[in-house]
Order: sequence, then structure tokens, then C-alpha cells
Amino acid sequence: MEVRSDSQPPRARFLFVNDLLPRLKQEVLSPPQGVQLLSWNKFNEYTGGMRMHELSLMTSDTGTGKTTFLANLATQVLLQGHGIYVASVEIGAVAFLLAMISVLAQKDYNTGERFTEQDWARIEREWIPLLLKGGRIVFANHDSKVSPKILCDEMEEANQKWGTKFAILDNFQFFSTVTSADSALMEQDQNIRFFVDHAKRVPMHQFLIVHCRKTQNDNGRVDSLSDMKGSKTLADEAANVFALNRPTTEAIGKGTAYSTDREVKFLKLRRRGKNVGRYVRFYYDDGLYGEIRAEHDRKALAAGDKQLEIGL
Amino acid sequence: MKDTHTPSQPQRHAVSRQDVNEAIAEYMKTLHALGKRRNPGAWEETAIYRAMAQFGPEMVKLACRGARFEPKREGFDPASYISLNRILDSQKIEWFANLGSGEPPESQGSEVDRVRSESASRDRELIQQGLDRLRKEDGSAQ
Repeated sequence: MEVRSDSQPPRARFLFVNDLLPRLKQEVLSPPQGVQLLSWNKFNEYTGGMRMHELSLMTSDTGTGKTTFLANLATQVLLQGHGIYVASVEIGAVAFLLAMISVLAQKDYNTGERFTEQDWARIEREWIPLLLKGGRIVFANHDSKVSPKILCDEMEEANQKWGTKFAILDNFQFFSTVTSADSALMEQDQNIRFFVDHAKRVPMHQFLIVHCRKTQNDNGRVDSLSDMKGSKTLADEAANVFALNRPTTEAIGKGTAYSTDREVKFLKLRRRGKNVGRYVRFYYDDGLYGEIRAEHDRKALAAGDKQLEIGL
Repeated sequence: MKDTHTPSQPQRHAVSRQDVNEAIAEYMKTLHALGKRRNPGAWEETAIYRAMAQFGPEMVKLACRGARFEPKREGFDPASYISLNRILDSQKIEWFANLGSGEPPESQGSEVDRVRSESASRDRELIQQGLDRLRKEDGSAQ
């Protein structure tokens, strides 16, 4: 006979259909809705939105534009009225905030060039008040390696205090403290389980960035889960895995894609698995990533862009 | 008496502000079509003006247009390749102008631009609506 040593009441060993009826009714009448992104319709359609209690991973080659993409993602969530927690440990909170303001202002302030006092006045007048609203966006105050436990505690606090529903964690390699390669994989496994356990407990969606391996793929593209850096547990435990890629050189050469376009490929989807292998293509314009509409996909396909076939 | 010893000066073409603006607009479209999301700088305006005076406004406008239709080789990344000096090079400008004078060899370029532009307008509108909603919420909460 099983002996429970903790103080929690013993759980029923079996559940009958009657026990499940209240939850079943709720599931049928008001199914849990993920956070829908404001203008990324295809992304919403393929993923079903960013659901609570889930962990998503995103991986891509260095320099593909993860930060700009994340800033766009955060803005899409923000404009739907949801609070965001950002742990931008790699590039820092200021750079991330600037990238978000670039999306809102539709002017790329993240170019490194010097802008005028009028530009600053506009930022201060139009965008800061919007972002200042209590808890609408909160940043983790870490600029070097930090343990997952601290981040999880902070996320939970943000969720309780301000109802924050979405967390962006950039990036996983900064949440590890080991120096020896031998123990690295083991610690990564522990860390990812930390995030997964936290996701199960707290009603938030965590979006975690993971580096990829150096591949020989065309344009540094990430095509499969095995291209992701770290142990296999990462992909196993996450609900969704996305790859952010540059277009193929063939598509650029044919003129059906610009080199500034980006594609999000769905490598793993817990709920809508039929969409695994598909992707959404984005254009880039002054800090803004927008989905390229299906109409263009069809035209590109007609023009011989075979790579798009799987995405339709 | 007519001076027959002075070497003949190269022909100088009259250039108007409108000519320069039109060429700049074509060059900007080329930059954007090839993935460079930036606007031409002041030095490029000067270079275009000088080239117009040397080769004629029409030749420069057509060359700036033709550069975006240049045939692409495998592995060619236009964003890291396009340069105004290359377009206005005396050895190449005529070739680029020929490319720009006819129908584009691949018509998808302008179509890609059009669809992106439509998508961007819609996205901007949605973002504006989201902003208005947030501001309204903030206003009503105060």
C-alpha cells in the first residue's frame, strides 16, 4: 500500500466520468483561449494562440534578428491588453525597450544612429505613458547569469501582482551557472524542468530563447529539433518549438523573398500538431515584422518558390 | 578667331531638381526591392547629380531603375551587393540603363512590393487600433 508522507490530502486513486463532468463542461462551453497576437493571424491560426501554462522555445542562428522579433511579439501581446515580463539578460532591458518602441512608433530607433531631441520628445510624449501603466511591462533586473529559480519566483510575483500573462526569457544559455561541459547537459535538463514545472503551476505563457548549433544549412537555417543547442530534453519538455530563419538563398535569388524577410517554422506544436513543418513568412519594415499574406504566398508559389509549398 | 587648340570639353547635360528627385526615388525603390531598408543619403544625391551632368538625366534614372532587375546568380545576396558607385560606373551604366528601359525581366519584384505595402498598411492600422484601445483604457481608468 502506498504511504504518502506529505501533508497534502490523499488524491483519489481513480477518477470516474462523474468526477470529470464539471471540468469537462467548462472545457466544452468555454475552452481555454490562448493569448492571440494582434495582427499575426496565420501565426494564431497555426498555434491556436499562446496558451497559459505552456512553455515555448524559439531558436535561430546568431544575427537572425531574434531580439527584434521578440520585441514585435511582445508588442503584439501588449496591444491585446496583456501584461508582459521580460528577462532580456543577453542584450539588456534598454535595448529591448527601444526595439519595442520602434515597433510602436514604426520607426527603427535601434540603428545605432543618433536621433534628434524631437524624436526623444515624441517617444516621451507618446510611448512612455503607454508603457508606464502599472505592471503593463516589467523587466527583470539582471544583466548576467541568473538562476531559473529566481526568474520563476519573479514571474510568479508579476503574475500575482499585475496579472502578467506572458514572459519572454532571453536566453536559456544565460540561465545556467555551470562551467564544465560534463555537467552542462545535466544542469540544462534540471533548468528546463524548473521552467516546465513553473508553467504548470502559474497561469502564464513562457517564451524562452535557445541558441542553435552551428549548422551547414543554407543561410544558417534551423530545420529540425536536432539543430537546437543543448540536450534533447529541451525539445521534449517544451509545448511548442519555433525556428526563426532567414529566407533561402534560392528565394532571395529569384526575387520572391527579400533578405530582410524572416520565417517562423513550427518544429513542434503540442495542440495543433498537424501544422508542424509549416511556417509563416514575415516582412520587415522599420522595426516592424508583419506577416506576408497568403495572396503573396500563392504568387510566390506560382513563380516557382517550391519552399513555400509545405507552408500552404 | 576660333580656338582650335583647346581640347573639347565633355558634353555637360542640364540637370533639374526634379530629375535628381526622380532618380533618387528609383534608387530608393531599388534599395528596398533588394532588401536594404534605408533611404539614400546626401552623398548619393550628389553622386547622382554628377552622373546626370555627365551621362544625362534619363540614362541615370534608367540605370537606377535597371539595377533592381539585374539577373541574380546562385548564392547572390543583393543586400550586400548593391552599390550606387557600381550602378553609375562608366563601364556599366549603359548596361543598367538598358535593363531599366524595358519591361522588368521578372515582374514579381513590383508585385512583392505591392503585397508587402498592403500588408504593412493593414498591420499599421491594426497596431493603431490596439494603441487607441490601450489609451482609451488608460483614460477611462484615470
